[in-house]
Amino acid sequence: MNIYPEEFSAIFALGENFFSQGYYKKAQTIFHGLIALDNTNHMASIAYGESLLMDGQSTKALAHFSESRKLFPASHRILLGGAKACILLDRKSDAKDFLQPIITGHIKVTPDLSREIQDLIARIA
Amino acid sequence: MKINHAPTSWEKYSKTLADLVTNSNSKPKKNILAPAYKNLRPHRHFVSWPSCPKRRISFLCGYTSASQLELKLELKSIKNFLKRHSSLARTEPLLRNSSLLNHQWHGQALEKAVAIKRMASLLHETLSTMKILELVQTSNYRG
Repeated sequence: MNIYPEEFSAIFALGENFFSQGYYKKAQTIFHGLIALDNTNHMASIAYGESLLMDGQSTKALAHFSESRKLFPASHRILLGGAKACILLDRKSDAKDFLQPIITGHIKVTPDLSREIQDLIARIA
Repeated sequence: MKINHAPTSWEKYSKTLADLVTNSNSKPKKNILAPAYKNLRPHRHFVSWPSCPKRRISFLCGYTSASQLELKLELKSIKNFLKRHSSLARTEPLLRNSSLLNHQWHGQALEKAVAIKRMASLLHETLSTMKILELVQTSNYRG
């Protein structure tokens, strides 16, 4: 089944709304459905992983971020999400592996995320 | 011609004037704005959002007014998607034949189909809740 871009953005907005209001299970359902419809969209992938993390499903989130990393290796949000999941699962070496491309500068991040990255680096040190 | 109580009245006025100038024996003035402020006080039975029952919040389905407006504009797209999905779901063989689960490829396809179906049912549920919400709001406006 295909999905048109305007339909995708409308449903994604609904998922974001659920996420911002704290309905993480509903947000998961929306984002999972969107990934099933179009797995080339990295925003849906990030949002699904983040909603899993917020719902406390760190193992599932890590599995998802690891899979997504193969599809979108240049996405810094996926790397950050993976690192967060590893830290929550107390797997510091895996978290370091996720953060490595950002620390070495291979993948550049937006300035607003620098503080979040510093916080993550401090946790794995 | 004698004016009744004339000297007395004058004395009274002069005393009042003197009091105003010297500010002696002045009584505390009544705050004329007090009743107005009293009306502006929040009602005792006002229910704030944090203390709002969970059931009521879930009824509102987590919409802020701004995002609700945005969603209204995008409703048409969601409805179009659901229309297409429901017409496809009628002819979808994957959801009916569970024996296809044995094969890995079909297993993945089935997983995808289930994820889409779950999303579609949530979208249906959300749209119907929005419809109820709209009806409630309309009835409130009518007073």
